[in-house]
Amino acid sequence: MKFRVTKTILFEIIMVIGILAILFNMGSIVLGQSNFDGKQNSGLEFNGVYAIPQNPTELQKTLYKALSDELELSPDDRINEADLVVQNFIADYYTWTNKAGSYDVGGLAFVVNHSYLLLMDASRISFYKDLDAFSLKYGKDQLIEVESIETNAMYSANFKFLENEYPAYYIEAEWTYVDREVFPEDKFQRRAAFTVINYDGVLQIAQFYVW
Amino acid sequence: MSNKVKNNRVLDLMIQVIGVLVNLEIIYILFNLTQYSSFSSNIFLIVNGVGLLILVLIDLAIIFAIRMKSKKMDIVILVVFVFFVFFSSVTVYLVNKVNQGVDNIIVDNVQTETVYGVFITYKSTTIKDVKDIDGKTFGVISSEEFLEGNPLAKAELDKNNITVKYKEYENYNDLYLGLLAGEIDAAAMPDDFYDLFIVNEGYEEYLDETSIIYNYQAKVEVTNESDTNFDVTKNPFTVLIMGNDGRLSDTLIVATFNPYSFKATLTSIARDSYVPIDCYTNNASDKITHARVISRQCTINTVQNLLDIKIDFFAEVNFNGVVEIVDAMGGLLIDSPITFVGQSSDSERGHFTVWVPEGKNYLNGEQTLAFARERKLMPGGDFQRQLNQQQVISQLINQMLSTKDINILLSVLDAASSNIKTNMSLEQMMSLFNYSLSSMKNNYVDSEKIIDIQGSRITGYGSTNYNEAMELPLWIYRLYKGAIEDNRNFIINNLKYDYEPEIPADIQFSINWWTQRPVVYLEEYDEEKIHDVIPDIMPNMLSTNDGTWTLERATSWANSRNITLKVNRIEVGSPLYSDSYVHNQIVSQSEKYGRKTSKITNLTIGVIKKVLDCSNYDNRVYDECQDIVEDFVWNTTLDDLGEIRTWASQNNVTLQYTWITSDDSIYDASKAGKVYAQDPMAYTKIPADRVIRLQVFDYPFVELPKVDWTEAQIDEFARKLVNSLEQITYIRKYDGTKNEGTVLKVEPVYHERYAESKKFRTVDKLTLTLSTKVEPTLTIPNFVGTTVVDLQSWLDINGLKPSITKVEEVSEVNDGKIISISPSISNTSTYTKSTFPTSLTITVGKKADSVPATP
Repeated sequence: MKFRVTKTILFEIIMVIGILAILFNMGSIVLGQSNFDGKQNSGLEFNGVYAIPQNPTELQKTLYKALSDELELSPDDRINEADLVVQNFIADYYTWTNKAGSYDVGGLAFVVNHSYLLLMDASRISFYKDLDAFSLKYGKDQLIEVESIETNAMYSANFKFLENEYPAYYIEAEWTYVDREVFPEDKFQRRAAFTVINYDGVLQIAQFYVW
Repeated sequence: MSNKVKNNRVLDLMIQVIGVLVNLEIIYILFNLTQYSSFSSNIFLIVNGVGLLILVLIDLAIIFAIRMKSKKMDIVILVVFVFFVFFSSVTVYLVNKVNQGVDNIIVDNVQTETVYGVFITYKSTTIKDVKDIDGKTFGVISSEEFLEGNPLAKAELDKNNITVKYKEYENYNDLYLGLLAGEIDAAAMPDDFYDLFIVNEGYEEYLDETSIIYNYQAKVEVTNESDTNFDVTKNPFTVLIMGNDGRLSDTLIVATFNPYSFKATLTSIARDSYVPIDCYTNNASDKITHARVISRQCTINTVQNLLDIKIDFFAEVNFNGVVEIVDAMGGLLIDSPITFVGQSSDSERGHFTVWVPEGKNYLNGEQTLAFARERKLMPGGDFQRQLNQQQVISQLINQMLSTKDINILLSVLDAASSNIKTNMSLEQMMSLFNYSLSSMKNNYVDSEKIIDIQGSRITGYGSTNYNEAMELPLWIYRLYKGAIEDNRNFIINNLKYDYEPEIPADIQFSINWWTQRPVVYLEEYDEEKIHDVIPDIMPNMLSTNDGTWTLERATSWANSRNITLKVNRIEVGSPLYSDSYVHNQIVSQSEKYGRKTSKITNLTIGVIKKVLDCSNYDNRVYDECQDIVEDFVWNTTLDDLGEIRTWASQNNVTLQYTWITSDDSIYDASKAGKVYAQDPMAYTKIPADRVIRLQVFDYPFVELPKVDWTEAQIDEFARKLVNSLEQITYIRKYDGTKNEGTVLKVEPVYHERYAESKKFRTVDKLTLTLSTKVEPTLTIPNFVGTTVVDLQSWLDINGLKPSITKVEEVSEVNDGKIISISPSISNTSTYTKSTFPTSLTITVGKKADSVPATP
């Protein structure tokens, strides 16, 4: 094999220039990445019934695992499952440290399917309304984060929804937040009574109120 | 040099040329795509990496091919390179197309635009050309911001070496009014001045008399205030959305977006909102839609001043753009409150051909545009239209965010490129798009539900301005101050992010509850409403907006104002005539709409005159069909003209008859009793003398029965009569000499018309005396208690001559009176003349003294 070395120098130069140009271009893409600070994770974790974001707190992870384990057991008495649904909801809804913004309302996966948008809309004009302002003032990692939850689950009368009655559980819950130095977490909601219904075989939250 | 070596060199050269071409194309593609890298940096890094790999492989292949002396290898590489050239050329074409589309949408801070202007005159017979303006008074706008109205017009005059005397006005409307009033000989206007003014009721007739004497165009630099460094992912921002119809902004929506909360607001401003216009001298008020005629920036500044907010970006869409964009998206899911047929995108007004069904449906571009534009048919009018426009925008955003098909996105880009303008940079748009998608990706809720879009509108009230110079009322929409303030707060609240937060109240929730959003604005505010005093003005009698103006209505209107009304009848053949008009509809008026009635003493109107069919009772409401002669001929079912006489009496008409008898040749017995002809004709006006002449078929004459006619002849006669039972009175008379029923006597009752001629009609009456052989029973009174004289008198009357024997009997009581008759005759006797006793013995009472002794 004979090579014509001298005649390829031009192309070797072109190739080097091309490579440098593309590398320069890639560098400009890296440097010019958009400035926003949105969530960088992707997708949701899903256990076949319920979903939570992939950036959960330790408490969320523990509670979600407990709920997933309970689902595996499939006991006849589902009061424990109802209790865990409420705890998972509280851990997600009342934790703001992992929220992208006030639009990112937590716990919706544990609310009755047809109605989670109602909770989202209600939250965006009430409980979540100032989340972004709190975040800018105190920093995202200083926002409320549920630390522990105490519940008292019991059976309830059937719950009426859209002319139908569903078996229901009544669960009183109290929770605490991670202590913050400056953020006034002690002034945020810390208790509620939940009604969990068996909606098409899935236990979901139908209502909650302050008791 | 051998041919083989020569061929190899040619191949090498071809490979090198194509190689350089492919190298350049790859670098070109990658560098051009980089501007979209904020869409997703990772994807673009991968694309660049692949590009780099291809470039290296191609260059190594070229080096390898050049160094190898293999013709086969050269040919293989050449074929591969040709494929690469084709592929990369197509890619370059697509990249260029996308770039061009994006470039068309995004306007630079300083942009060159072509502006079109005209010089106009009104009813001028002397100015036919721009040179005729020389030395005349020329109207311009005082502010140089009105490009066609001042600097460009002046430059054109200078260019044509024309010297004029300038007269300045504050805005185009005032300038046009000055032209109409004769204050100036010609005026400088934008080329689409017609669209600018035609929206005002009453302008059309003036525009028809307005002539363009000069056209020009000029390149100008337009400054668009925008901040390309503005980070739309960290700062809430405002966008003024302008939907343009020609040079007017038909739709004005202030949109806001908060990238933290993902809340968006859409605040509509009615196009007729009467607000201070930023670029008018002294910020004079006008309809906000007119601001766009001056410039885009004028509209933006006007909105900024109105709401006291900063507009960060604008997005300008023309109507055709909506059609093309929606079609490119494959339709838009729209919920229409009604079914209607709306206007098409055809520039000509009044093309109502687009059907939009009620309820949620996927509408195509034309349907979506008709839905966004429809005002008159919508319940709530312009307010519902504003909501509809907000719905269209919301759906466009939602469907765009949920679209995964790159072909649809490219089609939308293609459609948008010629119909949308914005000053938001590509990087800002890309980063916002990418930010939104990334933020939504991890959310439990569907992407299109994340952006919380809330609409509002600045409410106000309709009012009217009276323009003294033009003598025209102009409809305007005055905004409530409270509505402006509420909407400003609504907008500002969504722009806030770095504010003092408040601890939220405990939340409670039930799936049986419905969240009520806070009220943004009120339909009405308790404010003093400003209404100009509008004088009593000449209405537009040609308009049907307020019901059709008819002669009767105009007469009533004129009479109540002591205005003398003159009516010109517009008949078939007149240019003003159309079958679509109703009879008596007004199609022309001598006084123009809007003129004060205090200045009007005479009014001439053109009124449609149709040939009315007065036999149609619907037309009897018109004067032409009142006081008319009915149709009396043939088809009337008159009973001896009784109904005609009744009608004549009711209408104060005298009837004169000419009777057609059976002696006349035209006589038709079957029409007896009916009118043959009338004068005047049916359905014409009753003549002034109120006399109607009728030719009437009389009943036929018939031969009267004669004495000695038999019963059969009488029967035959009776059948000829109209109603023989009513007409013939029979009398039976005993005549033993004649056959039963033989006519003994005929006594006709002639109608007065024939009394002299003694002609008997089939409808006249008569008495017939017929013979009978049955002797009648005598009707005998009771003569007891009467006198003999009485008895003798009755006997004489009845032609009876019995022998009478008189016997006297003493009676104090019945002196001179008959006591008895023998044989007895009384009212119970059934004697006839022939059976009556031939002798009678009458016992008569006598007082005792006078009683003679019995012989």
